[in-house]
Amino acid sequence: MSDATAGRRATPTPAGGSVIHDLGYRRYEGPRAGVREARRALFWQGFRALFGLGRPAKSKAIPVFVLIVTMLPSLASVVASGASNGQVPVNYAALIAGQTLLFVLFMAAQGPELMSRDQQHRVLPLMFTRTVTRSQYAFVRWLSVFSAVLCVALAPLLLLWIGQIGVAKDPAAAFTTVGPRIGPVLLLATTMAWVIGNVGAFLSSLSPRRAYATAAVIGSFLVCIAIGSALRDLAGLSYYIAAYVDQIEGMRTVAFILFGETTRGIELHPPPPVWTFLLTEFAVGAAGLAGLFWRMRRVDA
Amino acid sequence: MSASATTPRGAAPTAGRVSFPATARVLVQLAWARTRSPVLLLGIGVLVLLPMFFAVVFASRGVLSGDPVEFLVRRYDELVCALATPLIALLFGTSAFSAEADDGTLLYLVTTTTPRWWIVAVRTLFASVLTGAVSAFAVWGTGAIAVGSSDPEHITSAFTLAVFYGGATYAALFTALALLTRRALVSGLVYVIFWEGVLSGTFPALQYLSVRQWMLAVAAEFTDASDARLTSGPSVWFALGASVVLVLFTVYVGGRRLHQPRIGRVGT
Repeated sequence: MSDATAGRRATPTPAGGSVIHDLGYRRYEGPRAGVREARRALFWQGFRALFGLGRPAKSKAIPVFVLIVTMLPSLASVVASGASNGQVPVNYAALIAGQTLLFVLFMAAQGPELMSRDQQHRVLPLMFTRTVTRSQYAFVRWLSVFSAVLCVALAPLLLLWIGQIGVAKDPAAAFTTVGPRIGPVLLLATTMAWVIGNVGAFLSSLSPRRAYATAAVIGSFLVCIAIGSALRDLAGLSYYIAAYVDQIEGMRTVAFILFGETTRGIELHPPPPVWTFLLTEFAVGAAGLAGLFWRMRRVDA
Repeated sequence: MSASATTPRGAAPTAGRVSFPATARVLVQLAWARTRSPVLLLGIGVLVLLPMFFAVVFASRGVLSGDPVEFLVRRYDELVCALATPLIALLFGTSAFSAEADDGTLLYLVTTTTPRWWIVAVRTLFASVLTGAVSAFAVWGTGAIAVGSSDPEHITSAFTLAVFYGGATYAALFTALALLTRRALVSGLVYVIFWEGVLSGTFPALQYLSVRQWMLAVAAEFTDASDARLTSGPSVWFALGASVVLVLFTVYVGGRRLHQPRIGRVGT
Protein backbone atom coordinates (compact mmCIF):
# COMPACT_ATOMS: atom_id res chain seq x y z
CA MET A 1 0.00 0.00 0.00
CA SER A 2 2.74 2.41 0.98
CA ASP A 3 4.59 1.44 -2.19
CA ALA A 4 1.62 2.44 -4.25
CA THR A 5 1.26 5.86 -2.65
CA ALA A 6 4.99 6.42 -2.95
CA GLY A 7 4.81 5.52 -6.63
CA ARG A 8 1.92 7.88 -7.04
CA ARG A 9 3.85 10.77 -5.54
CA ALA A 10 6.96 9.99 -7.52
CA THR A 11 5.25 10.38 -10.88
CA PRO A 12 3.13 13.50 -10.81
CA THR A 13 4.13 14.31 -14.38
CA PRO A 14 3.97 11.93 -17.34
CA ALA A 15 6.58 9.24 -16.93
CA GLY A 16 8.74 7.99 -19.76
CA GLY A 17 8.03 11.00 -21.92
CA SER A 18 4.41 10.02 -22.62
CA VAL A 19 1.92 12.81 -23.10
CA ILE A 20 -1.85 12.94 -22.79
CA HIS A 21 -2.98 14.79 -25.89
CA ASP A 22 -5.84 17.23 -25.49
CA LEU A 23 -8.51 16.05 -27.89
CA GLY A 24 -11.20 18.11 -26.29
CA TYR A 25 -12.48 15.35 -24.05
CA ARG A 26 -13.03 15.66 -20.34
CA ARG A 27 -9.72 16.52 -18.72
CA TYR A 28 -7.96 14.53 -16.09
CA GLU A 29 -6.10 16.62 -13.53
CA GLY A 30 -5.50 14.00 -10.86
CA PRO A 31 -2.28 12.20 -10.09
CA ARG A 32 -1.03 9.60 -12.59
CA ALA A 33 -0.62 6.41 -10.69
CA GLY A 34 1.99 4.69 -12.87
CA VAL A 35 2.54 1.17 -14.05
CA ARG A 36 2.51 -0.41 -10.60
CA GLU A 37 -0.97 0.88 -9.92
CA ALA A 38 -2.10 -0.23 -13.38
CA ARG A 39 -0.99 -3.76 -12.64
CA ARG A 40 -2.59 -3.67 -9.22
CA ALA A 41 -5.90 -2.50 -10.68
CA LEU A 42 -5.72 -5.17 -13.37
CA PHE A 43 -5.07 -7.85 -10.77
CA TRP A 44 -8.00 -6.86 -8.56
CA GLN A 45 -10.33 -6.45 -11.52
CA GLY A 46 -9.45 -9.98 -12.60
CA PHE A 47 -9.70 -11.45 -9.12
CA ARG A 48 -13.11 -9.89 -8.53
CA ALA A 49 -14.34 -10.95 -11.97
CA LEU A 50 -13.47 -14.57 -11.20
CA PHE A 51 -15.86 -14.52 -8.25
CA GLY A 52 -18.42 -12.34 -10.01
CA LEU A 53 -18.00 -9.57 -7.43
CA GLY A 54 -19.43 -6.27 -8.53
CA ARG A 55 -21.53 -8.05 -11.14
CA PRO A 56 -25.17 -9.18 -11.04
CA ALA A 57 -26.18 -12.18 -8.94
CA LYS A 58 -26.24 -14.52 -11.93
CA SER A 59 -22.49 -14.10 -12.39
CA LYS A 60 -21.92 -15.22 -8.82
CA ALA A 61 -23.90 -18.44 -9.27
CA ILE A 62 -21.05 -20.77 -10.20
CA PRO A 63 -18.43 -19.48 -7.71
CA VAL A 64 -20.94 -19.59 -4.88
CA PHE A 65 -22.18 -23.02 -5.96
CA VAL A 66 -18.65 -24.44 -6.08
CA LEU A 67 -17.66 -22.90 -2.74
CA ILE A 68 -20.78 -24.20 -0.99
CA VAL A 69 -20.64 -27.67 -2.52
CA THR A 70 -16.97 -28.11 -1.68
CA MET A 71 -17.14 -26.70 1.83
CA LEU A 72 -20.33 -28.42 3.02
CA PRO A 73 -18.77 -31.91 3.17
CA SER A 74 -15.82 -30.45 5.10
CA LEU A 75 -18.17 -28.87 7.58
CA ALA A 76 -20.17 -32.09 7.92
CA SER A 77 -16.99 -34.07 8.46
CA VAL A 78 -15.78 -31.70 11.18
CA VAL A 79 -19.18 -31.72 12.87
CA ALA A 80 -19.31 -35.53 12.78
CA SER A 81 -15.84 -35.70 14.26
CA GLY A 82 -16.73 -33.26 17.01
CA ALA A 83 -20.04 -34.94 17.86
CA SER A 84 -18.36 -38.33 18.20
CA ASN A 85 -15.48 -36.97 20.32
CA GLY A 86 -13.01 -37.68 17.54
CA GLN A 87 -14.16 -41.26 16.98
CA VAL A 88 -15.03 -40.46 13.38
CA PRO A 89 -11.72 -39.57 11.70
CA VAL A 90 -11.40 -36.50 9.51
CA ASN A 91 -10.30 -37.73 6.08
CA TYR A 92 -8.68 -34.90 4.15
CA ALA A 93 -7.74 -36.80 1.01
CA ALA A 94 -10.99 -38.74 0.62
CA LEU A 95 -12.91 -35.46 0.86
CA ILE A 96 -10.79 -33.44 -1.53
CA ALA A 97 -10.60 -36.27 -4.08
CA GLY A 98 -14.30 -35.95 -4.84
CA GLN A 99 -14.09 -32.21 -5.21
CA THR A 100 -11.20 -31.74 -7.60
CA LEU A 101 -13.46 -31.78 -10.62
CA LEU A 102 -15.54 -28.99 -9.11
CA PHE A 103 -12.45 -26.79 -8.98
CA VAL A 104 -12.03 -27.50 -12.68
CA LEU A 105 -15.66 -26.53 -13.17
CA PHE A 106 -14.99 -23.22 -11.37
CA MET A 107 -12.02 -22.59 -13.64
CA ALA A 108 -13.95 -23.54 -16.79
CA ALA A 109 -16.89 -21.31 -15.93
CA GLN A 110 -14.99 -18.29 -14.60
CA GLY A 111 -11.62 -18.33 -16.38
CA PRO A 112 -13.06 -17.33 -19.78
CA GLU A 113 -14.65 -14.39 -17.95
CA LEU A 114 -11.17 -12.83 -17.99
CA MET A 115 -9.35 -14.44 -20.85
CA SER A 116 -12.05 -14.54 -23.52
CA ARG A 117 -13.96 -11.40 -22.67
CA ASP A 118 -10.99 -9.09 -23.09
CA GLN A 119 -10.51 -10.50 -26.58
CA GLN A 120 -14.22 -10.54 -27.40
CA HIS A 121 -14.75 -6.92 -26.39
CA ARG A 122 -11.46 -5.81 -27.95
CA VAL A 123 -10.07 -4.09 -24.89
CA LEU A 124 -6.60 -5.58 -25.34
CA PRO A 125 -5.39 -2.76 -27.64
CA LEU A 126 -6.37 -0.26 -24.93
CA MET A 127 -4.14 -2.08 -22.46
CA PHE A 128 -1.18 -2.79 -24.70
CA THR A 129 -0.89 0.78 -25.98
CA ARG A 130 -0.42 1.97 -22.40
CA THR A 131 2.03 1.03 -19.72
CA VAL A 132 0.97 -2.60 -19.44
CA THR A 133 2.96 -4.74 -21.87
CA ARG A 134 1.82 -8.07 -23.24
CA SER A 135 3.92 -10.18 -20.92
CA GLN A 136 2.94 -8.03 -17.93
CA TYR A 137 -0.69 -8.46 -18.89
CA ALA A 138 -0.25 -12.23 -19.17
CA PHE A 139 1.52 -12.35 -15.81
CA VAL A 140 -1.09 -10.27 -13.98
CA ARG A 141 -3.97 -12.22 -15.50
CA TRP A 142 -2.26 -15.47 -14.50
CA LEU A 143 -1.75 -14.14 -10.98
CA SER A 144 -5.48 -13.37 -10.68
CA VAL A 145 -6.46 -16.83 -11.87
CA PHE A 146 -3.88 -18.57 -9.71
CA SER A 147 -4.88 -16.74 -6.53
CA ALA A 148 -8.59 -17.27 -7.16
CA VAL A 149 -8.22 -21.03 -7.74
CA LEU A 150 -5.90 -21.19 -4.73
CA CYS A 151 -8.57 -19.56 -2.56
CA VAL A 152 -11.23 -21.97 -3.82
CA ALA A 153 -9.05 -25.05 -3.41
CA LEU A 154 -7.68 -23.98 -0.03
CA ALA A 155 -11.05 -23.15 1.53
CA PRO A 156 -12.35 -26.70 2.19
CA LEU A 157 -8.94 -27.98 3.31
CA LEU A 158 -8.39 -25.06 5.63
CA LEU A 159 -11.87 -25.52 7.03
CA LEU A 160 -11.02 -29.13 7.83
CA TRP A 161 -7.73 -28.17 9.47
CA ILE A 162 -9.15 -25.35 11.59
CA GLY A 163 -12.23 -27.40 12.38
CA GLN A 164 -10.26 -30.41 13.49
CA ILE A 165 -8.30 -28.30 15.94
CA GLY A 166 -11.37 -26.37 16.98
CA VAL A 167 -13.63 -29.28 17.88
CA ALA A 168 -10.98 -31.14 19.87
CA LYS A 169 -11.44 -31.38 23.64
CA ASP A 170 -7.95 -30.01 24.15
CA PRO A 171 -7.17 -27.61 21.30
CA ALA A 172 -3.57 -27.13 22.38
CA ALA A 173 -2.87 -30.86 22.28
CA ALA A 174 -4.73 -31.14 19.00
CA PHE A 175 -2.59 -28.35 17.59
CA THR A 176 0.60 -30.26 18.25
CA THR A 177 -0.73 -33.40 16.53
CA VAL A 178 -2.82 -31.88 13.74
CA GLY A 179 -0.84 -28.65 13.35
CA PRO A 180 1.90 -30.01 11.04
CA ARG A 181 -0.79 -30.95 8.56
CA ILE A 182 -0.86 -27.34 7.43
CA GLY A 183 2.15 -28.23 5.25
CA PRO A 184 0.34 -30.82 3.12
CA VAL A 185 -2.76 -28.61 3.10
CA LEU A 186 -0.86 -25.69 1.60
CA LEU A 187 1.17 -27.87 -0.75
CA LEU A 188 -1.89 -29.65 -2.12
CA ALA A 189 -3.89 -26.45 -2.64
CA THR A 190 -0.93 -24.80 -4.38
CA THR A 191 -0.47 -27.80 -6.65
CA MET A 192 -4.14 -27.75 -7.58
CA ALA A 193 -4.08 -24.02 -8.31
CA TRP A 194 -0.86 -24.43 -10.30
CA VAL A 195 -2.20 -27.22 -12.53
CA ILE A 196 -5.87 -26.22 -12.88
CA GLY A 197 -5.23 -22.47 -12.92
CA ASN A 198 -2.33 -22.46 -15.37
CA VAL A 199 -3.72 -24.99 -17.83
CA GLY A 200 -7.19 -23.47 -17.56
CA ALA A 201 -5.89 -19.94 -18.11
CA PHE A 202 -4.00 -21.05 -21.22
CA LEU A 203 -6.91 -23.00 -22.71
CA SER A 204 -9.45 -20.26 -22.03
CA SER A 205 -7.21 -17.63 -23.62
CA LEU A 206 -7.35 -19.53 -26.92
CA SER A 207 -10.84 -18.48 -27.97
CA PRO A 208 -12.58 -15.11 -27.86
CA ARG A 209 -15.91 -16.93 -27.48
CA ARG A 210 -16.68 -17.74 -23.89
CA ALA A 211 -18.65 -20.90 -24.60
CA TYR A 212 -15.85 -22.46 -26.62
CA ALA A 213 -13.28 -21.55 -23.99
CA THR A 214 -15.39 -23.21 -21.30
CA ALA A 215 -15.79 -26.31 -23.41
CA ALA A 216 -12.06 -26.42 -24.11
CA VAL A 217 -11.08 -26.28 -20.42
CA ILE A 218 -13.56 -28.83 -19.13
CA GLY A 219 -13.28 -31.03 -22.21
CA SER A 220 -9.51 -31.36 -21.93
CA PHE A 221 -9.64 -32.40 -18.29
CA LEU A 222 -12.55 -34.83 -18.88
CA VAL A 223 -10.84 -36.46 -21.85
CA CYS A 224 -7.68 -36.90 -19.78
CA ILE A 225 -9.74 -38.55 -17.04
CA ALA A 226 -11.29 -40.91 -19.58
CA ILE A 227 -7.91 -41.79 -21.07
CA GLY A 228 -6.46 -42.36 -17.61
CA SER A 229 -9.23 -44.61 -16.40
CA ALA A 230 -9.17 -46.61 -19.63
CA LEU A 231 -5.40 -47.03 -19.43
CA ARG A 232 -5.77 -48.32 -15.91
CA ASP A 233 -7.98 -51.16 -17.13
CA LEU A 234 -5.42 -52.40 -19.62
CA ALA A 235 -3.67 -55.33 -18.04
CA GLY A 236 0.10 -55.14 -17.80
CA LEU A 237 0.35 -51.37 -17.33
CA SER A 238 1.33 -49.84 -14.02
CA TYR A 239 -1.59 -48.91 -11.75
CA TYR A 240 -0.22 -45.38 -11.46
CA ILE A 241 0.15 -44.69 -15.17
CA ALA A 242 -3.26 -42.99 -15.00
CA ALA A 243 -2.00 -40.58 -12.36
CA TYR A 244 0.72 -39.30 -14.68
CA VAL A 245 -1.57 -38.95 -17.71
CA ASP A 246 -4.62 -37.58 -15.92
CA GLN A 247 -3.67 -34.69 -13.64
CA ILE A 248 -6.92 -34.89 -11.67
CA GLU A 249 -6.12 -38.48 -10.72
CA GLY A 250 -2.53 -37.38 -10.09
CA MET A 251 -3.60 -34.74 -7.59
CA ARG A 252 -5.91 -37.22 -5.87
CA THR A 253 -3.05 -39.68 -5.54
CA VAL A 254 -0.80 -36.94 -4.15
CA ALA A 255 -3.52 -36.07 -1.64
CA PHE A 256 -3.77 -39.66 -0.43
CA ILE A 257 0.01 -39.99 -0.10
CA LEU A 258 0.50 -36.61 1.60
CA PHE A 259 -2.21 -37.16 4.19
CA GLY A 260 -1.23 -40.78 4.75
CA GLU A 261 -4.65 -42.13 3.88
CA THR A 262 -5.23 -45.21 1.78
CA THR A 263 -7.77 -46.63 -0.59
CA ARG A 264 -7.99 -50.27 -1.59
CA GLY A 265 -6.13 -49.47 -4.79
CA ILE A 266 -3.26 -47.79 -2.94
CA GLU A 267 -3.01 -50.68 -0.47
CA LEU A 268 -2.78 -53.21 -3.28
CA HIS A 269 -0.29 -51.18 -5.31
CA PRO A 270 2.43 -49.40 -3.31
CA PRO A 271 2.72 -45.90 -4.83
CA PRO A 272 5.92 -44.52 -6.32
CA PRO A 273 7.59 -41.61 -4.47
CA VAL A 274 5.40 -38.55 -4.20
CA TRP A 275 7.94 -36.24 -5.85
CA THR A 276 7.44 -37.98 -9.19
CA PHE A 277 3.80 -36.90 -9.20
CA LEU A 278 4.63 -33.43 -7.97
CA LEU A 279 7.27 -33.07 -10.68
CA THR A 280 4.79 -34.10 -13.39
CA GLU A 281 2.22 -31.67 -12.07
CA PHE A 282 4.77 -28.89 -11.84
CA ALA A 283 5.77 -29.54 -15.46
CA VAL A 284 2.18 -29.56 -16.67
CA GLY A 285 1.43 -26.28 -14.87
CA ALA A 286 4.65 -24.71 -16.19
CA ALA A 287 3.69 -25.75 -19.71
CA GLY A 288 0.30 -24.10 -19.23
CA LEU A 289 1.94 -20.88 -18.04
CA ALA A 290 4.38 -20.90 -20.95
CA GLY A 291 1.46 -21.47 -23.30
CA LEU A 292 -0.38 -18.48 -21.81
CA PHE A 293 2.62 -16.20 -22.37
CA TRP A 294 3.00 -17.57 -25.91
CA ARG A 295 -0.66 -16.94 -26.64
CA MET A 296 -0.57 -13.42 -25.23
CA ARG A 297 2.44 -12.52 -27.36
CA ARG A 298 0.67 -13.37 -30.59
CA VAL A 299 -3.01 -12.64 -29.85
CA ASP A 300 -4.58 -10.04 -32.13
CA ALA A 301 -4.87 -6.73 -30.40
CA MET B 1 -49.49 -20.13 -30.44
CA SER B 2 -48.72 -19.44 -34.07
CA ALA B 3 -48.07 -15.93 -35.27
CA SER B 4 -49.28 -16.53 -38.82
CA ALA B 5 -52.43 -14.43 -38.54
CA THR B 6 -50.97 -11.08 -39.52
CA THR B 7 -53.29 -8.22 -40.44
CA PRO B 8 -52.46 -6.75 -43.83
CA ARG B 9 -52.36 -2.99 -43.71
CA GLY B 10 -52.41 -0.89 -46.83
CA ALA B 11 -50.43 -2.44 -49.66
CA ALA B 12 -48.47 -4.84 -47.44
CA PRO B 13 -48.40 -8.36 -48.85
CA THR B 14 -50.53 -10.87 -47.00
CA ALA B 15 -48.71 -13.72 -45.32
CA GLY B 16 -49.33 -17.04 -46.98
CA ARG B 17 -49.50 -20.40 -45.34
CA VAL B 18 -46.35 -21.46 -43.60
CA SER B 19 -44.56 -24.25 -45.43
CA PHE B 20 -43.31 -26.54 -42.69
CA PRO B 21 -40.71 -28.41 -44.77
CA ALA B 22 -39.30 -25.20 -46.25
CA THR B 23 -38.95 -23.45 -42.89
CA ALA B 24 -37.45 -26.61 -41.43
CA ARG B 25 -34.80 -26.60 -44.13
CA VAL B 26 -33.89 -22.97 -43.45
CA LEU B 27 -33.82 -23.55 -39.69
CA VAL B 28 -31.51 -26.52 -40.11
CA GLN B 29 -29.26 -24.56 -42.47
CA LEU B 30 -29.00 -21.74 -39.94
CA ALA B 31 -28.23 -24.17 -37.13
CA TRP B 32 -25.63 -25.97 -39.20
CA ALA B 33 -23.95 -22.67 -40.09
CA ARG B 34 -23.57 -21.98 -36.35
CA THR B 35 -22.33 -25.47 -35.59
CA ARG B 36 -19.84 -25.83 -38.41
CA SER B 37 -16.76 -24.32 -36.77
CA PRO B 38 -13.43 -26.16 -37.04
CA VAL B 39 -12.79 -26.08 -33.28
CA LEU B 40 -16.16 -27.60 -32.48
CA LEU B 41 -15.92 -30.33 -35.10
CA LEU B 42 -12.39 -31.12 -33.94
CA GLY B 43 -13.62 -31.56 -30.37
CA ILE B 44 -16.43 -33.82 -31.49
CA GLY B 45 -14.00 -35.82 -33.60
CA VAL B 46 -11.74 -36.38 -30.59
CA LEU B 47 -14.71 -37.55 -28.50
CA VAL B 48 -15.74 -40.02 -31.20
CA LEU B 49 -12.25 -41.36 -31.81
CA LEU B 50 -11.42 -41.83 -28.13
CA PRO B 51 -13.35 -45.12 -27.55
CA MET B 52 -12.17 -46.39 -30.94
CA PHE B 53 -8.59 -45.77 -29.90
CA PHE B 54 -9.05 -48.08 -26.93
CA ALA B 55 -10.73 -50.63 -29.16
CA VAL B 56 -7.60 -50.63 -31.34
CA VAL B 57 -5.45 -51.22 -28.26
CA PHE B 58 -7.84 -53.96 -27.14
CA ALA B 59 -7.83 -55.67 -30.52
CA SER B 60 -4.07 -55.47 -30.91
CA ARG B 61 -3.46 -57.40 -27.69
CA GLY B 62 -5.46 -60.43 -28.76
CA VAL B 63 -6.31 -62.97 -26.05
CA LEU B 64 -4.33 -60.99 -23.46
CA SER B 65 -7.12 -58.43 -23.37
CA GLY B 66 -9.66 -60.68 -21.67
CA ASP B 67 -13.43 -60.78 -21.97
CA PRO B 68 -14.64 -58.52 -24.83
CA VAL B 69 -18.13 -58.13 -23.36
CA GLU B 70 -16.83 -56.75 -20.08
CA PHE B 71 -14.42 -54.47 -21.94
CA LEU B 72 -17.12 -53.17 -24.26
CA VAL B 73 -19.67 -52.56 -21.50
CA ARG B 74 -17.11 -50.59 -19.49
CA ARG B 75 -15.96 -48.53 -22.49
CA TYR B 76 -19.50 -47.88 -23.65
CA ASP B 77 -20.64 -46.83 -20.20
CA GLU B 78 -17.64 -44.73 -19.16
CA LEU B 79 -16.45 -43.27 -22.45
CA VAL B 80 -19.58 -43.03 -24.58
CA CYS B 81 -22.60 -42.78 -22.26
CA ALA B 82 -20.91 -40.73 -19.55
CA LEU B 83 -18.54 -38.57 -21.61
CA ALA B 84 -18.89 -38.47 -25.38
CA THR B 85 -22.68 -38.46 -25.83
CA PRO B 86 -23.48 -35.72 -23.27
CA LEU B 87 -20.66 -33.50 -24.48
CA ILE B 88 -21.61 -33.93 -28.15
CA ALA B 89 -25.24 -33.25 -27.28
CA LEU B 90 -24.16 -30.20 -25.30
CA LEU B 91 -22.25 -28.80 -28.28
CA PHE B 92 -24.94 -29.55 -30.87
CA GLY B 93 -27.87 -28.66 -28.63
CA THR B 94 -26.64 -25.30 -27.36
CA SER B 95 -24.65 -23.97 -30.31
CA ALA B 96 -27.46 -22.58 -32.46
CA PHE B 97 -29.83 -20.96 -29.97
CA SER B 98 -27.05 -19.72 -27.68
CA ALA B 99 -25.16 -18.02 -30.49
CA GLU B 100 -28.36 -16.46 -31.82
CA ALA B 101 -29.43 -15.24 -28.41
CA ASP B 102 -25.95 -13.80 -27.88
CA ASP B 103 -25.75 -11.73 -31.03
CA GLY B 104 -29.42 -10.81 -31.19
CA THR B 105 -30.32 -12.64 -34.42
CA LEU B 106 -32.82 -14.82 -32.55
CA LEU B 107 -35.17 -11.86 -32.88
CA TYR B 108 -35.21 -12.13 -36.67
CA LEU B 109 -36.09 -15.79 -36.41
CA VAL B 110 -38.93 -15.24 -33.97
CA THR B 111 -40.53 -12.35 -35.83
CA THR B 112 -41.23 -14.51 -38.89
CA THR B 113 -44.59 -16.21 -39.33
CA THR B 114 -43.13 -19.61 -38.50
CA PRO B 115 -44.87 -21.10 -35.45
CA ARG B 116 -42.53 -20.94 -32.48
CA TRP B 117 -43.09 -24.51 -31.41
CA TRP B 118 -42.00 -25.52 -34.90
CA ILE B 119 -38.74 -23.57 -34.55
CA VAL B 120 -37.97 -25.40 -31.32
CA ALA B 121 -39.11 -28.76 -32.69
CA VAL B 122 -36.90 -28.51 -35.78
CA ARG B 123 -33.88 -27.43 -33.77
CA THR B 124 -34.44 -30.25 -31.27
CA LEU B 125 -34.78 -32.75 -34.10
CA PHE B 126 -31.63 -31.41 -35.75
CA ALA B 127 -29.55 -31.71 -32.58
CA SER B 128 -31.09 -35.08 -31.68
CA VAL B 129 -30.45 -36.73 -35.02
CA LEU B 130 -26.90 -35.40 -35.28
CA THR B 131 -25.99 -36.35 -31.72
CA GLY B 132 -27.63 -39.74 -32.00
CA ALA B 133 -25.96 -40.54 -35.30
CA VAL B 134 -22.49 -39.42 -34.22
CA SER B 135 -22.63 -41.26 -30.86
CA ALA B 136 -24.08 -44.38 -32.44
CA PHE B 137 -21.26 -44.28 -34.96
CA ALA B 138 -18.75 -44.12 -32.09
CA VAL B 139 -20.35 -47.17 -30.46
CA TRP B 140 -20.60 -49.14 -33.69
CA GLY B 141 -17.01 -48.32 -34.68
CA THR B 142 -15.66 -49.30 -31.27
CA GLY B 143 -17.45 -52.63 -31.43
CA ALA B 144 -16.39 -53.29 -34.99
CA ILE B 145 -12.73 -52.59 -34.22
CA ALA B 146 -12.67 -54.54 -30.95
CA VAL B 147 -14.48 -57.76 -31.92
CA GLY B 148 -15.11 -57.48 -35.66
CA SER B 149 -18.60 -58.41 -36.76
CA SER B 150 -19.16 -61.13 -34.15
CA ASP B 151 -21.15 -58.85 -31.75
CA PRO B 152 -21.03 -61.11 -28.64
CA GLU B 153 -24.29 -61.14 -26.64
CA HIS B 154 -25.67 -58.39 -28.95
CA ILE B 155 -23.75 -55.89 -26.91
CA THR B 156 -22.78 -53.52 -29.72
CA SER B 157 -26.19 -53.47 -31.38
CA ALA B 158 -27.89 -52.90 -28.03
CA PHE B 159 -25.64 -49.99 -27.16
CA THR B 160 -25.88 -48.50 -30.65
CA LEU B 161 -29.63 -48.33 -30.22
CA ALA B 162 -29.42 -47.11 -26.61
CA VAL B 163 -26.89 -44.40 -27.40
CA PHE B 164 -28.96 -43.15 -30.33
CA TYR B 165 -31.91 -42.87 -27.98
CA GLY B 166 -29.80 -41.30 -25.22
CA GLY B 167 -28.15 -38.84 -27.57
CA ALA B 168 -31.53 -37.66 -28.78
CA THR B 169 -32.75 -37.25 -25.18
CA TYR B 170 -29.64 -35.35 -24.14
CA ALA B 171 -29.92 -33.08 -27.17
CA ALA B 172 -33.54 -32.23 -26.28
CA LEU B 173 -32.54 -31.50 -22.69
CA PHE B 174 -29.70 -29.19 -23.70
CA THR B 175 -31.80 -27.44 -26.36
CA ALA B 176 -34.25 -26.60 -23.58
CA LEU B 177 -31.34 -25.35 -21.45
CA ALA B 178 -30.12 -23.12 -24.30
CA LEU B 179 -33.53 -21.48 -24.41
CA LEU B 180 -34.06 -21.22 -20.67
CA THR B 181 -30.68 -19.98 -19.46
CA ARG B 182 -28.17 -17.55 -20.74
CA ARG B 183 -25.18 -19.74 -19.92
CA ALA B 184 -26.46 -23.02 -21.25
CA LEU B 185 -23.07 -24.63 -21.70
CA VAL B 186 -22.04 -24.13 -18.08
CA SER B 187 -25.42 -25.27 -16.73
CA GLY B 188 -25.22 -28.36 -18.93
CA LEU B 189 -21.75 -29.10 -17.63
CA VAL B 190 -22.97 -28.75 -14.05
CA TYR B 191 -25.69 -31.28 -14.88
CA VAL B 192 -23.27 -33.75 -16.48
CA ILE B 193 -20.50 -33.46 -13.89
CA PHE B 194 -22.32 -32.74 -10.70
CA TRP B 195 -25.72 -34.38 -11.12
CA GLU B 196 -24.75 -37.48 -13.08
CA GLY B 197 -21.18 -37.75 -11.86
CA VAL B 198 -21.20 -36.87 -8.16
CA LEU B 199 -24.79 -36.89 -6.90
CA SER B 200 -25.98 -40.01 -8.75
CA GLY B 201 -23.20 -42.00 -7.13
CA THR B 202 -24.18 -40.81 -3.66
CA PHE B 203 -27.96 -40.94 -3.96
CA PRO B 204 -29.13 -44.01 -5.93
CA ALA B 205 -32.65 -42.57 -6.15
CA LEU B 206 -31.34 -40.01 -8.64
CA GLN B 207 -30.76 -42.82 -11.13
CA TYR B 208 -34.37 -42.36 -12.09
CA LEU B 209 -33.63 -38.78 -13.12
CA SER B 210 -30.39 -39.43 -14.99
CA VAL B 211 -30.24 -39.75 -18.76
CA ARG B 212 -27.15 -41.91 -18.45
CA GLN B 213 -29.07 -44.50 -16.42
CA TRP B 214 -31.98 -44.38 -18.86
CA MET B 215 -29.53 -45.17 -21.63
CA LEU B 216 -28.18 -48.15 -19.71
CA ALA B 217 -31.73 -49.34 -19.08
CA VAL B 218 -32.46 -49.34 -22.80
CA ALA B 219 -29.20 -51.12 -23.52
CA ALA B 220 -29.97 -53.77 -20.89
CA GLU B 221 -33.23 -54.54 -22.63
CA PHE B 222 -31.58 -55.57 -25.89
CA THR B 223 -28.47 -57.36 -24.70
CA ASP B 224 -27.95 -60.78 -23.17
CA ALA B 225 -25.01 -59.57 -21.07
CA SER B 226 -25.61 -59.42 -17.33
CA ASP B 227 -23.22 -56.76 -16.13
CA ALA B 228 -23.87 -55.15 -12.75
CA ARG B 229 -23.98 -51.75 -14.47
CA LEU B 230 -26.91 -52.91 -16.59
CA THR B 231 -29.06 -54.75 -14.08
CA SER B 232 -29.61 -51.91 -11.60
CA GLY B 233 -31.59 -48.75 -12.15
CA PRO B 234 -34.87 -47.88 -13.82
CA SER B 235 -36.82 -50.08 -16.21
CA VAL B 236 -36.84 -49.55 -19.95
CA TRP B 237 -40.45 -48.35 -20.06
CA PHE B 238 -39.74 -45.75 -17.43
CA ALA B 239 -36.76 -44.55 -19.45
CA LEU B 240 -38.69 -44.31 -22.72
CA GLY B 241 -41.61 -42.54 -21.05
CA ALA B 242 -39.32 -40.09 -19.32
CA SER B 243 -37.60 -39.09 -22.54
CA VAL B 244 -40.90 -38.62 -24.37
CA VAL B 245 -41.96 -36.29 -21.55
CA LEU B 246 -38.63 -34.50 -21.78
CA VAL B 247 -38.91 -33.92 -25.54
CA LEU B 248 -42.50 -32.66 -25.24
CA PHE B 249 -41.43 -30.42 -22.35
CA THR B 250 -38.62 -28.96 -24.47
CA VAL B 251 -40.92 -28.18 -27.41
CA TYR B 252 -43.67 -26.72 -25.24
CA VAL B 253 -41.57 -24.68 -22.82
CA GLY B 254 -39.13 -23.66 -25.54
CA GLY B 255 -41.99 -22.47 -27.71
CA ARG B 256 -43.47 -20.50 -24.80
CA ARG B 257 -40.07 -19.09 -24.06
CA LEU B 258 -39.63 -17.74 -27.58
CA HIS B 259 -42.59 -15.44 -27.01
CA GLN B 260 -40.23 -13.29 -24.97
CA PRO B 261 -36.91 -13.77 -26.74
CA ARG B 262 -33.92 -12.39 -24.93
CA ILE B 263 -32.12 -9.88 -27.03
CA GLY B 264 -28.47 -9.94 -26.20
CA ARG B 265 -25.83 -7.43 -27.03
CA VAL B 266 -26.86 -6.53 -30.54
CA GLY B 267 -23.99 -5.94 -32.87
CA THR B 268 -21.09 -7.56 -31.09
